[in-house]
Amino acid sequence: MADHFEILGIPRGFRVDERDLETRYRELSRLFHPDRHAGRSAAERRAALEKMVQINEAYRTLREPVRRAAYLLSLRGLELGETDGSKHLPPDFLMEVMERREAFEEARVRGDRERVRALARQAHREREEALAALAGAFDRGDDREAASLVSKLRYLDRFLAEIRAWEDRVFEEEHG
Amino acid sequence: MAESGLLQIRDPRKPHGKPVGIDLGTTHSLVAYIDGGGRAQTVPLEGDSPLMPSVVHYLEDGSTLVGRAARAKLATHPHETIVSVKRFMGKGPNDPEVRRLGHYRFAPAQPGDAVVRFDVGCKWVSPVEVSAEILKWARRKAEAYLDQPVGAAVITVPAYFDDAQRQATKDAGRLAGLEVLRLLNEPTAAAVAYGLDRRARGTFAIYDLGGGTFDVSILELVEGVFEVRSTAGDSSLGGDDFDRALAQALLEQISAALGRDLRQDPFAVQAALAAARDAKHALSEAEKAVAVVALPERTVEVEVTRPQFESLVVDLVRRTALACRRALRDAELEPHQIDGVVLVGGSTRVPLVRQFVREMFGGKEPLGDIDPDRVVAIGAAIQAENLAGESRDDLLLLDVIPLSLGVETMGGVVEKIIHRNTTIPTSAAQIFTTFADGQTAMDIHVVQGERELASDCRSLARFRLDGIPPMPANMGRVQVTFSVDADGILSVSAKELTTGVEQSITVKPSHGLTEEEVERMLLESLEHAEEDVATRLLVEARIEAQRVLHDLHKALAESADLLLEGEREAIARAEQALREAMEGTDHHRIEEAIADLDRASTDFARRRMEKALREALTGRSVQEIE
Repeated sequence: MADHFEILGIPRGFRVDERDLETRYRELSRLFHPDRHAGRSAAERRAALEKMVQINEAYRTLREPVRRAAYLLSLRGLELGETDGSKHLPPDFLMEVMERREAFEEARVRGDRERVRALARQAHREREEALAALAGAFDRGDDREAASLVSKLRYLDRFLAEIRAWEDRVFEEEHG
Repeated sequence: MAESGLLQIRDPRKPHGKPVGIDLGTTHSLVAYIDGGGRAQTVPLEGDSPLMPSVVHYLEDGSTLVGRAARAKLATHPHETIVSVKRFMGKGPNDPEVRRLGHYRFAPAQPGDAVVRFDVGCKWVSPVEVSAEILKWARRKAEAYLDQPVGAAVITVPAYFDDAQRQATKDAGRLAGLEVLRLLNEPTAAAVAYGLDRRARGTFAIYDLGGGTFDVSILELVEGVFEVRSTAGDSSLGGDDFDRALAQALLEQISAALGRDLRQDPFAVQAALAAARDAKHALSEAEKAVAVVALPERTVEVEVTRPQFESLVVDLVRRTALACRRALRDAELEPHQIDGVVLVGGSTRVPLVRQFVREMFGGKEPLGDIDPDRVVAIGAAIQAENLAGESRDDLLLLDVIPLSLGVETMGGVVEKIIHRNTTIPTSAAQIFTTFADGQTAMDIHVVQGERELASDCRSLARFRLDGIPPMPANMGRVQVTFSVDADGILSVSAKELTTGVEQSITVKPSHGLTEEEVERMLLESLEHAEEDVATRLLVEARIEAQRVLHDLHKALAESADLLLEGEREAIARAEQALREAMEGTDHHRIEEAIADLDRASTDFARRRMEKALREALTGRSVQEIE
């Protein structure tokens, strides 16, 4: 079966022209979306539906850089799995993760929103840096480094998601 | 000979009758269509007004009144008259909604009852049946006005409706004798009405506060493609709640003044709700209004100021902030990145709501110049016309699933399989392993929602996969595949991977009618008793057969080169069998022959899609070279 890059007809690689990706997705959707085959026979509708499902999945994977990177690595036989990527991470980063978590925990207990926001800002900055480094690693063909950066980015994304969840709970308590 | 038969078909894609869009609302329902000049129009359902109250009154003989005539019966017959039935769609007898302020009388819950039923005196009716009555009347009135049959419809649903609520709405459409072309999310419908009108481009938020539901969707519009980025909402929050809050306050005040507790009296509740609704409308324009509560024994007048009203509803309005915030986050956007906000739903006329929306989306003045009551029906009509084959080439809607889908795993924890705001249609698979030695069956519990524990999510269905060969624990592997179609409706299949034992189910929600119930109701309904059901089924089967043959011949003419050895013969045999079945009068036989032909041509259809994809990509590269 065709891979996600082939389905959307874009060159396989980490650097993707996002505008091109979007345009191609829209063009293919116009051709294969079930609405375009509404009055056709069941076999044709099903075949179009299957294609559209593949197109949606390819687009969902490729539009988001971390998912795209993990997918690219999996095509080269480097399976990161959905959760366990810690074996690709340097020990000092793991230390940082623990410290960051503790800082968040403390701020949360104290209800120190300013501190939580500062932690989020820092994580966002590191995320941007890691994304830039990721593109560099792919350019050099350094898959091990890329895998390590993907794991790092996933950690950061999970951390940011936890902060968001906490902020949402606080917001809900105020508006509920 | 066979070819000439094909030429007689006028247009096989065209469903019979005029395609319409139906906004099946909590308080009002509307029907819209595209006129000869290509303009969207609403059908006047009540005198000159397109708004038909979504109220159904049951007479003693079981027949119904719908709309204003039904609403007029509310004061005298509160139990036999159902309002806001949409709030009960897809709900079980123990749902909290059933216990809220209202004048309904429910049938005693039977053990194992999946749906709530109203006791309307002459009988017990489910929300699906009540909704079907609304749709039938809307359809009849539209047919009388348009002077032609109405057969196919796009019906709108709140974007935040879950699978059970969507399925219930689709069942109601079928029960009303409509071919449901698509369930369309209300905010998306509104965006279509706005976007096409203005040739807009950019990122828009649709804030839709209806009678009983709240939705917010964030969409990106580019060249006729409406891509929903995120949606969020609250399927039990709406303008009705404003009425209830005010009615509650009125009843407390009147009870204190009269020295008699009226808060549970169904007639007084009904009178207070009606007074509250009128006062609310008046307060959108005026600073104060008089609520006239027509109790059976006397009429009481209570003055209400706008600040008093606002203090009663401000918490309800603030509750919409949760969903707005989540929609923005899921779309990864800040309020200032939204190019425009569209207001939908009558409740957005309340000044406090407008002010809130302005503040929520970075101070931008919201758009409301298409009548917020009609905009959803108009969008639905445009999509109905589009799906019925009168295609507007530039229009395409890419919508999302509003709530995550998952299965319950060990310890009652939910494993999410499809995450909320994934573009539909979509499908995803997950592998589960057996946990006991020699385990031969696995129970699958499908849930919908964002919470971690299955008990906090909406239970959609339970099924059991049998026939797993006895193996040591963790060795049996079951792959569960979730597929969500363009209506947002789920189907699930499960497969044991070592043996290939497969089970496929259409998820009939735990809180829904079974297929048998819907079919029985279809047969019982007056609409169908009047005509010969068998004849109708036969005609439909023949039309479908012609449609299939037409498509097949077109496909064969275009792509004969894609046929594999022996495939053409197999297809020809199935086609011959279908033609023979069409000569007869047994609709089952025709349906079976269609299914056989369908199976014979499935791989061929797939190859055609593959080829179309390759051509699409190649065409593109050619353009790039030039």
